[in-house]
Amino acid sequence: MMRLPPFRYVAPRTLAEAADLLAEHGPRAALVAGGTDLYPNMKRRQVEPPGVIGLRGIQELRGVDGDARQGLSLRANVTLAEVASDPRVAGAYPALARAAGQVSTVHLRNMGTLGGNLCLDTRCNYYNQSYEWRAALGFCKKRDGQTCWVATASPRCWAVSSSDTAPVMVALGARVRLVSVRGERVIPAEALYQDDGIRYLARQPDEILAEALLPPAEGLQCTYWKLRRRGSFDFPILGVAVALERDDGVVRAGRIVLGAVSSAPLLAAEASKLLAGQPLTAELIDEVAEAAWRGARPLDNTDLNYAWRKRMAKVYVRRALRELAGLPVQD
Amino acid sequence: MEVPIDSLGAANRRIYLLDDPSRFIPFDQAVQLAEARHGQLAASGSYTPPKIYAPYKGSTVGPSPSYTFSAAAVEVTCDPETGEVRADKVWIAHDIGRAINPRLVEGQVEGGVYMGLGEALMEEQVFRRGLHKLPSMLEYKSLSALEMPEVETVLVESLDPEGPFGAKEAGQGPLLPVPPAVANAVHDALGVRIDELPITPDRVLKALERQREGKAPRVGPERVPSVHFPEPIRVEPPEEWRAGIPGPGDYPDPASYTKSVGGSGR
Repeated sequence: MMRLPPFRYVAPRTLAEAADLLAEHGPRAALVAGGTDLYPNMKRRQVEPPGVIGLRGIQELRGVDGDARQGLSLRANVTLAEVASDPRVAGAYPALARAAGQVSTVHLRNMGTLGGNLCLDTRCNYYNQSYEWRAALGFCKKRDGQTCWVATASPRCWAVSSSDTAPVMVALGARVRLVSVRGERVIPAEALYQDDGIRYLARQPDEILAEALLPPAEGLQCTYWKLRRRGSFDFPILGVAVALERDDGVVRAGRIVLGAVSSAPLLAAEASKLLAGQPLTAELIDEVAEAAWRGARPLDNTDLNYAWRKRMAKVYVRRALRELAGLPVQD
Repeated sequence: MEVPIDSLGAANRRIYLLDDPSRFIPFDQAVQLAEARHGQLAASGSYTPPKIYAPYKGSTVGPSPSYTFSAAAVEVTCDPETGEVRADKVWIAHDIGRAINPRLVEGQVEGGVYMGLGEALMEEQVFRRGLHKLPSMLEYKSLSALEMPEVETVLVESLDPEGPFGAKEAGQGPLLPVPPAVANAVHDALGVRIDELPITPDRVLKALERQREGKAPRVGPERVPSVHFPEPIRVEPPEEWRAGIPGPGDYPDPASYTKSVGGSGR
């Protein structure tokens, strides 16, 4: 049975107190809300923070405000179950409700938070294993070792972005608010992520992700498709988030974001540009799907075959767009 | 009921008078009365197969006084664009000899189906540098409740001459027909043969591609590995067995087999 290592746990009551504690504890401290990502990783000794700052008691980090007209504010401690079932989210931003509602299992969605899922640690078959297994391998670049086992000649880590909500937030053009003792800043969700398996967040070690801000939903159509082996438990091995601003039949602008094919959510820029100013026809959709899959470069560090996952990017982008166009998703 | 014990029968959740079944006591009431007087009712028993080893290699494992037989039909839905295969329903008939506790046997058979589907569709041992790449229940995939199809179980009671009360096994026998049935169903749906397990989406797509290119629409080992197999040791049945080898007339007539339908279940 795997046990947690010893650690010091502090439970601040306010965001300001949490920020102070985080600054005081330094970069090795960890933040925890639901604990569904941190504690299993600690049990496998993937991380061993000497201090853990619990955010669950902080009232300012709860709740959802706003509406489809002005936009929505979701605080970081909102659970994934709450995100999935909130009528304001499910009504105006269904992609986010769908993404949150497909994370792991019912129990974990009751504990896991939006903030936690947005900051989810990157994952890899060679990293998310017990201490003994990793020791037998000689460890890896992300933790305790020198080699990336999925790309042995590579100087960087290729652990995979495994969040379902992150690609949706990027597709929606959402923003996030980061709070620290130095002040606060609001950045686009896209700017939160970096394409590196180890330094995968632009969040500074002393910052707390406090809130996600969704833009007004007028004219917005969005969807999220998750590829995984089973209908529950599993992390995404491909995520497709699509957000379109539509005026009658014409797409004013669109964003297609692929999850789980690199270390950060991947905006399919070429494919997205093809949508601008066009009516959403079956032919355009085929063209866009063809452009979208070319940028995806998944590696062999998740479930199932990586070449197959790359091919599925085209299939899923096509199906997601057809869903938004009101066409049958399969011929 | 104040009657001699051997005038009573037990069936249909009743203990009843054989000569007048309208006189009965419900089974659960009878149990309550008995336990009130005697405490917990329990019985145990065991069965040991006869020793059948003889002086030849391999005789202590393998031979069994009797064998079970199972047949399965599987209905699948395949997605030719993604290669994904979903099992929609399984029908399985298992020759149990005699189902001493039919509900338990049905459960065992369904468990065997689950195991067979896991093998057919998901389970895979992959090694790298001497380490198992899928060492946890998260990575080594088996079906969740969402993938497990409805199962209709038929228990065939052939009343085996050797087994206790005529019973045989319901351990891993029922799993055996399931993977071939799944592979055959995929062939029926798509026209491709996946000759290795698990039947993963990428293998299906590869076979479909070969089909489109006019090649043999098959994915699987190309040849038997070149291993030197030594000459088999041929052993005649021991003298003392030859007299006992049954002839065709010695087995019960299949027409006399009773069938109990185990019903459907998930």
